[in-house]
Order: sequence, then C-alpha cells, then structure tokens
Amino acid sequence: MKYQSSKLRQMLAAEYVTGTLTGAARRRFRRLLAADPLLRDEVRYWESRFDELGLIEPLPPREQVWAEIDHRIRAAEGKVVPLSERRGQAGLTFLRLWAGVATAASLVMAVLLLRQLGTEPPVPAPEIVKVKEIVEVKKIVEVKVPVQAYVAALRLPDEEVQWTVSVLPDTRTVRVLVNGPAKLTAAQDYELWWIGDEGATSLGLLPRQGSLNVALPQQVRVQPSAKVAVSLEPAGGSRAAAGPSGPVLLATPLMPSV
Amino acid sequence: MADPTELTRLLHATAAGDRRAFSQLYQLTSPHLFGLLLRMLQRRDWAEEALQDCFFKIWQKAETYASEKGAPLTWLLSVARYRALDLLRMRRPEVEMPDGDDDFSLPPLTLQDDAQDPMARAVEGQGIARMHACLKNLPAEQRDALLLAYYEGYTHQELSVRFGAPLGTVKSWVRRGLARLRDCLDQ
Repeated sequence: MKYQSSKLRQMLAAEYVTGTLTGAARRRFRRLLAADPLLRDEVRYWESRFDELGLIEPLPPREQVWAEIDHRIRAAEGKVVPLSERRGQAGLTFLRLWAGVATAASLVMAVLLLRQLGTEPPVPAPEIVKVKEIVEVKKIVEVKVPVQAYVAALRLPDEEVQWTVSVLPDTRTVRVLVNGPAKLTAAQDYELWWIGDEGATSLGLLPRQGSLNVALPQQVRVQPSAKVAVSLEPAGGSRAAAGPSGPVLLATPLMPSV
Repeated sequence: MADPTELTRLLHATAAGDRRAFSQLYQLTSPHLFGLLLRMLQRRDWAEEALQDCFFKIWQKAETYASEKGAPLTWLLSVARYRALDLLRMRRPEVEMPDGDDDFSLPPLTLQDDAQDPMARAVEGQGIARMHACLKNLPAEQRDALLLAYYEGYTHQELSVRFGAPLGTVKSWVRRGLARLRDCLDQ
C-alpha cells in the first residue's frame, strides 16, 4: 500500500484511532507506527480530539480490581506474598480459592495451589457468597497446623506460565511445580540456583511441565536470607564449572510460607 | 479532573517502581479508564478484567510515556481503548450484541440535544468547542457512525448491520466523516 501520500496517512491514522482499520491492515499499521514518529503524531492528534470531547462518564471500578492488579504485579516480580498479608487484602479470586483448598493436606500445598490458580482472570461472585467464604476462611486458618517451609513464585520474561518453588527443610526437599507447558525451545533449559552465604548451588533444571522433587544439596543451609535464581542455559544446563553460563533471568528471595 | 502535571509526575514515579505513586495514579485515573472500558465492552466483568490488564501494562510500560506523547490522561486512555478494541475483535464474533441481561445499561451516546448533551458540559476549551462544532456539522449518519466506531468499537460490518446499509456505504460514511472532520478542525 502507498503509505507515503500524506492524505492517505492521515486517513489511515484516523481509521486506526476510530478502530475501523481492522485485521491485517491494522497490524501492518501498528508496525509502521512503531517506526514513524510523524504517523504517531497523527494518531495522537485524533486521540486527543476525541478524548477532549469528554463524552465518557467516569465511573469508579469496584474495590477488588485494585487488589487483583496489586497481586498480579507482585506475582510478576516473582515475589510470594506471605499469607498473613494476603488475608487482609484478599480479592475475590483469593477468597474463592481459599474455600476451594479447605481440604488440602498442608498449607504448603495450599500456597502452591493459590499461586498457581491465582493468575487466572477473576470472575465476580455474588456479594453474599463472598461474606460466607470469609467466615469459612477464618475457621480454616485457625485449625491448620503450619508447616515450616519457604516458597517462591517465579515468572520468567518470555513465559506465560509460572513456576512455584517450595523448600521443605525437614525432608531437605525442593519441590518445583509449573502450571502449564513452558515455551522455550528444546535447545535451551532454565536452570534453578540456590543463592546462599555459600554461593550459588545448582538445584537442577526447571521442569518444562508438571512437577519435580529435588534433594537439597549437602552444602545448602536453609535460612531466611536465601534466594533462588534462574538462568537461561543450553539444553542440559550450565556449561560453566561453577555457577550459570547463561544470563540470569531472575533472582528472588524465599518467603516463609506461613 | 486530575492535574496533568501531577499525573505526569506520578507516571514518572511509577516508571521508577514507586508503588505508592502507582496506587495514587490508579485512584485518580481508573474511573476514566473504567468508564471508557464499560462504554466499549458493555459488560462489567469484561471491563474490570480489561482494567486490570491496562494497569498491569501501565505499571510495566510507564517508562515509555514521554510528555511529547500528549497529555498523560490521553495516553492512559489510549492504553484502555486499544485493549478494549483488541478484546472486542476477539470476542464479538462469538457473541450477540449485548442486551439487557447484564447488571447495568448505558444510555446511547448522542450529540443532538444541546440541553442534556453530556458534551455541553464538557465544552470549555477552544479545541473542545471546535471538535464539538465540527462533529455537529457532519451529516447525521457520518457522525453517528464515527461515534459508534470510536466509543463503542463498531466495525464496518457491525455498522452496516446496525444501519441496514451496504458495507461500502458505511465505509464511506466513516471515511468521509473523518476527512470532513479533519478539514473542519484544520480551518
């Protein structure tokens, strides 16, 4: 298409903004837009004209929307929010899930499930049900006996799935769980590292799907200051004698699960 | 309406990872984005989900906002608008146009009535008055087609069904409407 003619460019920008430029034409225009500041000016021209009209009545969203946004941001940063904190600010998803995991055998599993399912889009539930579930949650929390463990949720840059790492010091086991198939190619692997006072110790490769139990290496001491990290490696893991050979994608502290 | 200087400051702080600033930004601007999303998506659950997507994106992309990109609120609204358009294009093929089964309904957008016209309240600055006047000068079908496309995400096909007019005809309404609007605004 002839994008050079200025009238045509104006029209395409206008139709892009009104949304009537669709399908392949819209995608093509977006690519052009990324490389063309003058075209971006055209787009902004129309955006501000329409926005200035003020035809849209502002309307505050419901409270729980913010809680969900906050939760997604924390999840994206690979931070696991301690349960004690989450309880007060829970969104609907969280509350619903709490009710769902009432029969789970341990709190660690509960945390894992929460983290895994918590990324799904929320479905609004009727108010009355919500109140009932809050009551139930309190009961569950009081009855459960906490299992001392540490957890971390890992979100990697090019992946939609999330890995959950739980460290069980009593059995010296690390359990890694992923909530869907990973995207990375067969030529590569993600390697999980324990970062403690003693330095970086490999915990093996992140599973591409399902879950994996790993024994904690002898030299690793489980302590609150420890972190886990993930590096991108050639298939099979790091080529270096010690530590990662590829880029480190993420390092995150472990959080006590209770 | 929030002060643009303040919004710009909050956006910059958000880009630097300041959660408190981001929360303030949300408090100040989310009703505007939500109103727009509700208008376009016409379902509260979709609008809420889209609002989450938008603010998640704003948190991640705040550093890409620069003042030459126009007013901060316009930038934020554009994030919401394009998100809504994407969702509509994905979802509308499989659903009928929303009807009365939801928990709210919006009055139709209109420019005709000066007395109750929401725009009459918004007309303050010169530019706004001009856009208003130029829109009002368009033939009714061009203006309605433009407003439905912009504010409710109608495609050419959907406009064609809505107006009972051939596809080629509504395409030219949109195109001519935009061209006339531009000529009028440039005068």
